[in-house]
Amino acid sequence: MIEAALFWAACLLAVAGAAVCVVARNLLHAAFALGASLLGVAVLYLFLQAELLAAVQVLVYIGGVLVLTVFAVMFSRDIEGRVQLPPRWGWWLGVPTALLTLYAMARLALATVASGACPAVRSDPATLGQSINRPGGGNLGDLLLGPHLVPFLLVAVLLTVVLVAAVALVRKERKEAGAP
Amino acid sequence: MSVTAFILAGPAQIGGYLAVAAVLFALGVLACATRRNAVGFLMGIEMMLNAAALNFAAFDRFHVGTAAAAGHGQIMALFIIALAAAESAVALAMVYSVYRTWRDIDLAATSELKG
Repeated sequence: MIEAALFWAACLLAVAGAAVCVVARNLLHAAFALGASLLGVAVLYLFLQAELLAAVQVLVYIGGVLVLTVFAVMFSRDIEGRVQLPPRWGWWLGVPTALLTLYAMARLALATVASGACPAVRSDPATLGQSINRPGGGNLGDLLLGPHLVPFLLVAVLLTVVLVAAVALVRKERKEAGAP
Repeated sequence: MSVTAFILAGPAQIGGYLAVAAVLFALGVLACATRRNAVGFLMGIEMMLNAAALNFAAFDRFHVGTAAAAGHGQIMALFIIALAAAESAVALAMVYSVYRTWRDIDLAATSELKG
């Protein structure tokens, strides 16, 4: 009972944060609302018994991406206070598209639940432990360095390239600005 | 399944996670459509990627399958988070670069090659 209440509270946090992020006029408020939404999803990961994912979500998304976003909003301070008007046809185009997306995904979700491929309630811990042997994150490490080794290394290469690219993008401008 | 049973089951079923992910994805689409600002646009993309990762984790937890199949969905979600972080780092560096040039990050205003 308490578990269900906590679960729906986390769902509400995720959805309400995202909704506020969409409608907020001030970009800084939108960024903080996005942070609440990401936190709600992290709690959902905990309910999914994906502790590592929850930790990574908090560390990388909230601690990294969101701080970077807030920084980007703040360095462009003169546009921050400006009222953010949507593009002319933004809402006319966006609302039907979003509703269509929601409809399609809801139909898919209902079909999934109806198909029985994802059992509705699995409350028996014994069968749970058998089908998903996942003590903490140990099993994930085996998977990462086993069948997913090549994508794992590619992500490492990508992150290195991104690091260099981000620095190069920012530094080049500075050099050109200082040259004349 | 009745609504009451759905609400009481809470975290022990896949339906709730799928619903949250669907709403998050739709809101991300809406954010991308209605934001003129490059940083706001990026926030919408982050929302959509987050919804996809949540779906992967939920299906990993609930889908019937052998023990060998467990965990792969979580790995996928990890990769999504890593790619989202990389994407946002490069995109924000580009936004910074654009801002230095135009003193503005309005997506409509920062165009020079007008037909």
